[in-house]
Amino acid sequence: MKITMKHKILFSDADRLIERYYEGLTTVEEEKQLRDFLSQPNLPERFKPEQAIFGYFNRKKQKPQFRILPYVRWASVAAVVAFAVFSAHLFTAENKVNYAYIDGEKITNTQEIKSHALASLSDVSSKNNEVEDGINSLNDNQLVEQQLDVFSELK
Amino acid sequence: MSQERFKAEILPLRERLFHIAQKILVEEQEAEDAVQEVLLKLWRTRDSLDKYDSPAAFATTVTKNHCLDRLKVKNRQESLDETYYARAGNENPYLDLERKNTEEVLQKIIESLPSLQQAIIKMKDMEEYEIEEIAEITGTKVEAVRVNLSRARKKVREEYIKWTTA
Repeated sequence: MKITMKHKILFSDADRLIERYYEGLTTVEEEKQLRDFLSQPNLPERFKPEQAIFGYFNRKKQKPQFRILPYVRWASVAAVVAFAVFSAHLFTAENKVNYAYIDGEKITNTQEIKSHALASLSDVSSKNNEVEDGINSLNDNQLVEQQLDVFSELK
Repeated sequence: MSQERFKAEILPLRERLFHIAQKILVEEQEAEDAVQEVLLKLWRTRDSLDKYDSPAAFATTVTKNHCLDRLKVKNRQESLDETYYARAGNENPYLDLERKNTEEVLQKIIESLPSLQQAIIKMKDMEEYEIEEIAEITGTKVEAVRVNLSRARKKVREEYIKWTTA
């Protein structure tokens, strides 16, 4: 049997195909036509059970595709976001300049910053001596003994 | 295993598999259904059949296990049916909830079909096999497949209408 109208079949054709469907007589091709017919909205009430049943089988057929689609969609969203972040990063990185605040003044000259930094480092190293002096005074045995004497007096 | 080899090596075992099935299930029709199901199962997994030293021995084992499972399910289903009807008599809010979901209802209806009908309706309506192909795989007459398919489809419709209008 051949049906020439591919997409739009008449209600009477549909009724006949449905009857044959339930007898197990329809071919895969005829069932495709029936499926197309049943996927239309606003069909008469009598087609409701077949609409539900064909819709169910159709969804089962398409399931693998449905599973892949959201994944691809989210992956593409993720790719766009990643690209945007990356390019924004590149853009702002280009404008980045070395700078330092010295006595509240912003300096962008690298050489100047370096000399200031070295100067303050030598400051620190000179202060090392002070630390050592402090430690030496702690080592002063006399001082320790004096303080211990205070305790011995309590005895 | 190719389609041709399946037909040449597995299908000739049909008679032997049927005897095994009948020993376990006793009833001839049940044994026949079981063998068709086993053949469909083997068909689906034909790509991995080459792994076995003897596909024939494997088919025998599958048949035995399948028939034993069938026996178990049959016993269980008899008791399940009783509880189902006992419950359906009363108002059950869970049944109302289930009614709302067409997808779930249809899935349950299909799952409640005899397993051979289930296998056939899935192959025809989801995987788009022609009846002739299914008949060839199961080594049965086209008419036998058509009858099973027709029963399955009518049952789905009948049960679906029952669920949605009750």
